Amino acid sequence: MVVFKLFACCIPVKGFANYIICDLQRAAFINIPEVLYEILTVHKNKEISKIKHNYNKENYRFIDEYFEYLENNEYGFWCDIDEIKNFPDLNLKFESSELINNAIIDIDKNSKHDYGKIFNELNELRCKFIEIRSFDILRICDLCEILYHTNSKIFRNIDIIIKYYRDIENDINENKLFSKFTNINAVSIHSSPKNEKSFNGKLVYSKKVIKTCNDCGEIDIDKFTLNIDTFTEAQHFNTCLNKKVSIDSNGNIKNCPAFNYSYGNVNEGDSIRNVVRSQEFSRYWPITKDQIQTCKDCEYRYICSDCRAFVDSIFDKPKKCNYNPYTGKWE
Amino acid sequence: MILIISKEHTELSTEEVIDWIDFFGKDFIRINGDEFFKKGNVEITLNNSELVIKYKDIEIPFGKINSVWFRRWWDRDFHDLYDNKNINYSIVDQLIFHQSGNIVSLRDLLFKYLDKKKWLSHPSKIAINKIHVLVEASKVGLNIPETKICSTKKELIDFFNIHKKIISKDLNDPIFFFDEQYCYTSITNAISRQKILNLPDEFFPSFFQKLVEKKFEIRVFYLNKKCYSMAIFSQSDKQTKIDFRNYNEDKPNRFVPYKLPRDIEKKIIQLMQNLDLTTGSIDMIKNKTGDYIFLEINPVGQFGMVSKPCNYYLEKEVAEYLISQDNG
Ligand code: SF4
Ligand code: SF4
Repeated sequence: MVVFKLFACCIPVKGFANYIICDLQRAAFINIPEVLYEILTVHKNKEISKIKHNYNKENYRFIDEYFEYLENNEYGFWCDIDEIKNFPDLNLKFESSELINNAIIDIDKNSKHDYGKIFNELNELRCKFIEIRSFDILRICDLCEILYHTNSKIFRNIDIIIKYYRDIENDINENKLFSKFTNINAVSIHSSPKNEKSFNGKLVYSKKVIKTCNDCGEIDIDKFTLNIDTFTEAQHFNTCLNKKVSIDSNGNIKNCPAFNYSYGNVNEGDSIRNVVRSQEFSRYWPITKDQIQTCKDCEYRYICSDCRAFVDSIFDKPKKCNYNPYTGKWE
Repeated sequence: MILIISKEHTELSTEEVIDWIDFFGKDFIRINGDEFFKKGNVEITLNNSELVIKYKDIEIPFGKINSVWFRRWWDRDFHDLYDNKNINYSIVDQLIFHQSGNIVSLRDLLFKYLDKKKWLSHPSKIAINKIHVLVEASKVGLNIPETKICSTKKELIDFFNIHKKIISKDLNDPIFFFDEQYCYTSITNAISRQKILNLPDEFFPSFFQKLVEKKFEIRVFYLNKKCYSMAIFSQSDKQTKIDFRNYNEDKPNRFVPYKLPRDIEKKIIQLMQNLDLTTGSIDMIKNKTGDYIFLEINPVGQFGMVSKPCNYYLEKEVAEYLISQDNG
């Protein structure tokens, strides 16, 4: 005797109006009807004949079709009833060895950052992901000067966001940016005349204008992240602010650069390590989507990003999200 | 103090174990095998009976080290010999042979002074023989595939006629080599009648097994009497039917957490103890009739590929094990 089992990495999530299966290995999600959600959760690990007892005869055909669809698209498999116990669910725990995992460094034309100090401190904190964001024009040769300070450090991924200028692609080539700094994940160019990608998607032009740190926090289906890391983190922590440190363009040490309050200033000699260790600094980290109004009824709550800077109150849905989980529509 | 012997550029799991060791506030030093031999990195001084080994200007504190993690050492890489314009290429091979000897004796010196430490795992232990492991696995009661090592076409045809579907494997670890266009590797291959007929009458002694028709594969990461298992579903995809290392990028196989029955786990623990192995990756198959078939052990297995899809946090387990060794 067999039952249909979803692969452990394919997890059904219920929203108010819609239901999805998050595929955390193939980084995709599919919408499913309410009854299929019910079959996969309430009637989990039951034989198909037993499942059918709960529904009208007219629906049997649909139930068969659902399973056929899930099997053909490799969301699950037929499992011997004796073997169910050998296939545990994915545990959703989230643990981290890092105090700080990602950092934003904002730059404008007035910034006077001590990059040597900043990157040394982030390295000591074993921070893995760096985002360097420049609101004003930053020439590639000047960017390289900054990036030299990231050499032989622990940083796994460096994302760069800079403002468009005319010879930018030429400068990238001349400075051999991508071959010199192999941990650059992508360079995004804002305020561009075009939307376009080149260098195998590593260079992204966008018409979007980023003037200040307030041009952040949009929730967008293209930025959904489907993987075990984010999905498990979202069960326990805030997916934007957890283990994040930001240096705003004036050198203030903050959790998010758009927050008003800061806890110190790198350029005035404060140590990032001391600042991030304070209780105060991490106060928003434990806010999960399950605690946020509206979001807690949304099927995307474990895969979309979050924003706590632009909200009416701290437990409200991000203002820059246009999705309405009660209608199931982007508005 | 924990000594980590690794390579300069390794996979993420090494870095993550180090992150956890650091998180627990434990001291460690790391030696990268490939850097050890780079010019300018090592200095060995003999002060009468005292030997001082300095690596990148830091003296290796043999007295403080209790636990050694031997992750990777060094891949044969003699590029700089070939890059030397003045070299006579006909002697390069001989030079490499000689240079390998020098490297081995330097390495052995280092390892000798670490001999009494607690290793995960000592290089002498990880040199296991695939066929011997099969015999031992069978002794503890695990099922193994019918196996034949032969060097004549006639014997191979006999083996083929009995089993109909057979595969060939590497007697040793699989090898990868590259030219400008391709990567060649010696992973598991199906052997058809046609392939056998094309063989010469006699050939190098080679390793053949009956093909096990699988429901799914199982990869077990074993550490200190515990089994962390994962099922791999690759059946629906022709490309990965024989050996799942033929990755199919577009539709990756399904990797899901798996719990082996207790009696199979017990046999694995027994086997690992008999082989004196503290850790390793074990490949198994669950066949169409529901039996577990043991295939092989890789003593320095990649645990990242089990840890991540199953969310097991094996990097933390390894770090905790190393720390416990170091403390006691
Ligand atoms: S909280 Fe909002 S503004 Fe701040 S970094 Fe996150 S998304 Fe951006
Ligand atoms: S409503 Fe909340 S959970 Fe849903 S997409 Fe918007 S921000 Fe994400």
